[in-house]
Order: sequence, then structure tokens, then C-alpha cells
Amino acid sequence: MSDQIALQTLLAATARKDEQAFNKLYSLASANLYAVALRILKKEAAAQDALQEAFVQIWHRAVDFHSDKGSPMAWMATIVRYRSLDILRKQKKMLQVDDIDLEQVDAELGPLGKLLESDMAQVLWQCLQELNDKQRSVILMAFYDGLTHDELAERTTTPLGTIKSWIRRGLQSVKGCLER
Amino acid sequence: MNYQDPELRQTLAAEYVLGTLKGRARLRFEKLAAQDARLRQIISDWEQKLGTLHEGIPPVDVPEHVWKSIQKRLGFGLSDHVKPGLIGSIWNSLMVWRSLTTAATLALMFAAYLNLFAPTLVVNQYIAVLQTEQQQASWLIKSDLKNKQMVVHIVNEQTIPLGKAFELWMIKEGDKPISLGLISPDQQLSLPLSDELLEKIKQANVMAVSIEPAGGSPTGQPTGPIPYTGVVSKI
Repeated sequence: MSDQIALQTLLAATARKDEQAFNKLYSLASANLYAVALRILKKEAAAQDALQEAFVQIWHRAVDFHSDKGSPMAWMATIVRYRSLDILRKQKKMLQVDDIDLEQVDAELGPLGKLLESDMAQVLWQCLQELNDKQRSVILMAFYDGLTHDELAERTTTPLGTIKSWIRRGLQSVKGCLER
Repeated sequence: MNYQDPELRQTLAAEYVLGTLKGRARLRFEKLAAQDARLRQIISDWEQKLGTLHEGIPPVDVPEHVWKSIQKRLGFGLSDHVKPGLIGSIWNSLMVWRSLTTAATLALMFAAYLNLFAPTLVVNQYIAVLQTEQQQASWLIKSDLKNKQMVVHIVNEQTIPLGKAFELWMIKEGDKPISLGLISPDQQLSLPLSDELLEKIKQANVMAVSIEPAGGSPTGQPTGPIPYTGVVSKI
């Protein structure tokens, strides 16, 4: 909780163009945010580019952050994710595509749930557990690894239409579950 | 596509945040959202929900050159006196960057004091000039140990968004902020100080004002932006 306040304070100071505060913000948040970029991009150089782009954007957009937009970390992580996805989509064609076994994915991503700390994350994780394994796996792969519908279809050898409906219905169920 | 259909808006927003909306569809959706505040709200809701999943990823150390590149990109004076990654507690670090403006604050505090009040020498007072990052002074907080009261003087009137309130905090390095109550943007205010609060003021390093919901912070800690800060000094 005190970390949240620290990040909020630093973001507010960053919005006023305080370079020292921005430096502190980077110190506190960059390792977590770098991990987000690395997870999607897999390559260090690309992840570092994404992190750099994201922090430039955070500097310029800090003024847009309000505490009613959720946690400062989730807000910054979303920026890092979007920049990472941009870079990923540009370099995508060069990447080798491996097949994925959906059951393995569930076994691999399942333990991530134990690391979630905030109440909001816990509730979301519970809602994800209500989905069937395949729905949950494709949503988590899209989120954590930045995979598109096509890639998910190809790598899980599942028809594209099926993937699309798993994701759409899965997200609808999650929303319904969160509103209960 | 009918972009007013509520279910479609939800689906597109969710897939935008998930990242599965891509290419031209993604750009089209961004353009749409730029002109549609309610759609931006739906996106923001999904970002908040799904954004928490990032907590599950363990941190990875970042090579030092990345911060240097960011500084260069933003045209910062590359004064490297504060190295990222070496920082302890946040209030420690808050003190470091706050102390950088101490000289300016002191000058202002002295000027404010001379201008506003009788030029008699007063001791046993703790004062703080709260100012914006642009160094515009807004309040002068005077805590009088002898009379056991705190007076909040207006230096420059501030405006506050409708439905919000200014809340005053004192902060001791390494501790959580302590609320001193709500203060007015345009009216002088006197508050009695308990012995307990007096002791805490003596130890406080910083006072700050945050923007809170109308009734004050719901959590007992600052929840909104903190646009005004000032160092506490004994005179």
C-alpha cells in the first residue's frame, strides 16, 4: 500500500515535470515493467526499446493518471504492454513459430496466480478459474505473450473461429463474473 | 459495424486491451475512442481489470544504459547525482528530491514571513511554505508551540475541482503521512493542536497538500495527486 502511495506521489510530481521524481519512479518501477516487456518480446534488446518508449510516454502522460484509474503500476504496465505489442507486431514476421500444447500452458501459467497480490487481481484470477481450461489458456497467452488470434490458432492447431469465440466468450464471462 | 452496440463496444475494448485487436482494426478503434469519452472509459475499465495480471510477473533487473537513453531522449541534464536502483524507502527518496528545492523554499518562506506578518522576532514556531512545482507559494502553515495552535495562511488563492477538497499532511521521513485535516483554498484557518500532534510536528520534515474527495481521504492516507509540498523549518 505504501508503495502505491509512493508511486502515486512520484507520478504526480512527474506530471509537474520533476526530473528527480521521475528518476525515483524509474528506480521503483522499471524492474517490474521490464519483466512485462521481456515476457512479451522474449528478446532483451527489444524489451529495452519498449521500456524506453514507455517511460518517454509516461513522462509525457503522467498528467493523465488519476488514482481512480486503478493502481499506478497497472497503469504504467499497460503502457509498457502496448509499446511492447507495437514492437512485436512489427518484428513478428521474423519470428519462428512453435506449436503449443494448451495443457502445458495451463500448467505453466497457473502458478502466476499465486504471485498476484492486490485484491483486484485475486478477484480477476478467481473469475478466470471459472472459464474452461482452453478459454483461460488462450486469454492468458494473448495477455502475457502478446499472441494474436491467428498465432493462437496456428500454434494450438485450433480453427481461427474457435479461438475468436473462446476469447470473446471468455472475456464476456470474466466481465459478468467481476460484476457479480 | 455498429459501434454503438453495447456488447460490441465491450468486446472490442476488451480485445483492444488484451492485444488481440490488431492492425488496421486497432488503429480504427483508437481513432474512434479518441472521439468517444464513454468508450475511453470502457477501455480504461478493462485496463484496470486486466492490468492487475502484471503483478504475476517477477521483476527483472534493467541494464543501466536504458535509463541513460531515456534521459537523453527527454533532454535531461545528465546530472547523475541520483542513481536509479540505489534508493531505499520512498520517503527517504522524497526527502532527497525535496531538499533540492530547500534554498528556494527558505528564501520564499522568509519573504512570505516578512511580508505577511509583524516583523517581531518569534521563536518556537514551525513553519512550512507549501508551493507548487513551479515554486508558486500557496499556503503558509505556522505551528505555534506556545499557543498550541496551527494557523493556515493563504499566500495565493488556489482553485479546487468541484467535489474535491484539499487535505493537509505532515510527513516524517520513513513514516506514513499524518492528516492534519482539510484546509480551505481561500480562507485563513486556525486549528488547535494537541500535545501529541505538537510532538509530531516537531519531528516532521515535510508538509504536503493532496487533492481528495470532498469529505477528505477515505483511507487515512493520501489518495489523490499531491500538488503542494513544503519543508518544515523551525524559526
